[in-house]
Amino acid sequence: MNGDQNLHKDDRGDKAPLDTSLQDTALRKRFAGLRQEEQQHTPAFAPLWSGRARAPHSKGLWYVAAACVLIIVVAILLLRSEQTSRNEVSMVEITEWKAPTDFLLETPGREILQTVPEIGRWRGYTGVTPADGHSQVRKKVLH
Amino acid sequence: MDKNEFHDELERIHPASFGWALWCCDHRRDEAEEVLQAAYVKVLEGGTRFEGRATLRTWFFSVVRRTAWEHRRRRWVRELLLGRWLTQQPALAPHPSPDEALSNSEETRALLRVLAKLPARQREVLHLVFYQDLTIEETAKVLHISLGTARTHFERGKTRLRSLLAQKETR
Repeated sequence: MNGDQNLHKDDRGDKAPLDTSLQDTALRKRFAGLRQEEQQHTPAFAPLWSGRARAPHSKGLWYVAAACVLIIVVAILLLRSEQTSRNEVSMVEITEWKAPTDFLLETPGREILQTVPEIGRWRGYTGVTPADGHSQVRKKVLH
Repeated sequence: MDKNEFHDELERIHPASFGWALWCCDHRRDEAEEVLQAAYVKVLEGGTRFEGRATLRTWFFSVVRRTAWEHRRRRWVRELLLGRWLTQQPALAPHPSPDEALSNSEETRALLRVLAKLPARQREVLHLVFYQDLTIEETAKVLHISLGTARTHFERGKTRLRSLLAQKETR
């Protein structure tokens, strides 16, 4: 018993209009034609059942996919490591960097201002204590 | 049911199973063959077991439908991961290939074109009832839906199919 007949029996009983039933028969005929045409091209049962009809093509594809993912991961790791080392170099450069006009800030005689004078000791601009007689003579002259 | 009986029964319903696989794969023949083979492998390897709660045909159609769904999902993931260019699969149309279309009569082609306009669930119900000669109850079991839902889809699908066919014939 098919579904259509079931439906008529269950839901509509004998009051189902005749034209509906005829229309269903027409639809059934159309589907039967379709079935006949489609089933002419049905592949043989045995090769499909034994599972040797076609090679599993997806395996090769999965290998390619795995290789692609591996290449991408390696490339990302390489790029990251390169970027990190580049950042380190630039940090070192920043701490050691000097402005090109830095020499203008150098005051002449800056050494004198940075040292505390001591009585009885002479310091020249170079910060070297003179031990020769010439400076002693100059001292005397000053006194 | 012993193994030989099981094998013979599946062989007997093989053309009908292939017809159902074709519909589950939107009439893509290669894919339907793959799906049917995968369903057989599933049965052979014990991935799914017939427990006799329904007829063998109802149970196996349900297996084919589930396998087709898994196959579609896998293909979708593959295409998403690798891209359509890598999988080298042509754009798939929901209609038969030109070769198949040529082998079909005008009436059959018209029916397929009209059916393509129906919602998938209505199409499946109509196929199982009219093409496979299943009852509404069996159809509901194959599709894992309630009997009432199957009836509703059947009635709506039938009405829509008739009106679409009438429209086509008046043109």
